Amino acid sequence: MTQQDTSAQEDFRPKNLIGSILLFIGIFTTATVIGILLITGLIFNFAYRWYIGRLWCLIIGWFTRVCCGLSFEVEGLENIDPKQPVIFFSNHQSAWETLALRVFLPPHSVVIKKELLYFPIWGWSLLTLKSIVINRKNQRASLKSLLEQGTRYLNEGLSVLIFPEGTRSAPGTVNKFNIGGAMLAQKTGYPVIPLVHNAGDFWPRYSFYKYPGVIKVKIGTMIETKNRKAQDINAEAEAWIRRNLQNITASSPD
Amino acid sequence: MPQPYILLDRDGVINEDSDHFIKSPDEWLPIAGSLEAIALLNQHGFKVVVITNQSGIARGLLDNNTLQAIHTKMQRMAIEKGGHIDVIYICPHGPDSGCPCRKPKPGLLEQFAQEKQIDLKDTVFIGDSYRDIQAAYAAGATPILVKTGKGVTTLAHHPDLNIGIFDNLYDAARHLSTRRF
Repeated sequence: MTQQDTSAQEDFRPKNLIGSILLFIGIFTTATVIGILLITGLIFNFAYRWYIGRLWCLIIGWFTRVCCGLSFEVEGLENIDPKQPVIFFSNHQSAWETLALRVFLPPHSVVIKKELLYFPIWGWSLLTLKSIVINRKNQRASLKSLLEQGTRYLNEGLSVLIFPEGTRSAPGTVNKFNIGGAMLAQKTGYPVIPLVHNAGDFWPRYSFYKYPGVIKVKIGTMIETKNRKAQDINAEAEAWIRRNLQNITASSPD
Repeated sequence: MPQPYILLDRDGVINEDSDHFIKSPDEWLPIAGSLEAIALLNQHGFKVVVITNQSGIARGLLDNNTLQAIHTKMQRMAIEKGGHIDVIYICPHGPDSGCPCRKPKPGLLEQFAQEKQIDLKDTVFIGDSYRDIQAAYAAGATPILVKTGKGVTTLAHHPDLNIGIFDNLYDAARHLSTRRF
């Protein structure tokens, strides 16, 4: 496995620094405006707030392309039926996917860590988007909120997005999956759709630098979950994500 | 803006080619994944049009009814995979007829463009032969080569082709249905 070596990482040229600074400024100035729009948007419905949130993610996508030369492409959109609520399982490498998935996935609730709510305005605004807030230090309580709120949203027709690794992984790698998302699938019988991306190759965790390139996203086919055990569902989704991460990372343009 | 149509050659792209011509429905065998590729393109909003030379008719190897039966089989098998072919444009003439429709001439592509009121610029034509590529260029369309059928030979004779090249129709369809942001 040489995937970490093939990515465009650790290229500290000034253009990458300047682009990353501009993106940083772009994110934080617009985040405050969008945060206020979302919080005041509580007087309107969820569809309105989803639209505002997605609009912000489109704007950040534009900044990322213009400032950092980083774009993305999505394969497998035919596997999504917007009328069918599902539980999306995504790998987690970067802050990128917490924004970009809103651009092309149908409206969904995201499972987030409670620490995100400590950011003023922007963090609070996540509460307006039907996020499922979990406390990673209290797994039992987290699982309970995930199952309760997840079931409610799915039954309302809203999909749920979860990062089963729980935290961001290094480029080219996938951490062990937590069982919560699969338990939600076992309990509710809603299907799982796995998806995988290589955002960490260009926008790595803990890195201020973002690098030019094309992030690849691949969406898998629906995994049926009725009458199946959580471990079984988790294993299938995890295996699909691991296998396909190798494919997209290996074929990345250098 | 991508056009809503994707144009395909038939022999060597959708079905296995034969030096002895495809003369009956039984001889028409799909290339693995090609019908799924048509379905995938349809799911992404593309209509699929076939543009094919069938000089076997001029040569007396098969008649129009048999060709119709072959295409009925093709359409039926595509529908089984969830796909659909919108129209099939056929040149029945021989190589020496001087007709304007036999590829590498662009006649059939131009007829299609006129009938559907389509600008061929940015319309993709996927083929396995050099004459498919020539016809695409002559009509102002964008050629794509697949390595099925005569594709590998075409590539060997024309190694400097500066066009999209894919292993098979399914790979080409996956590329065309990838959304870029």
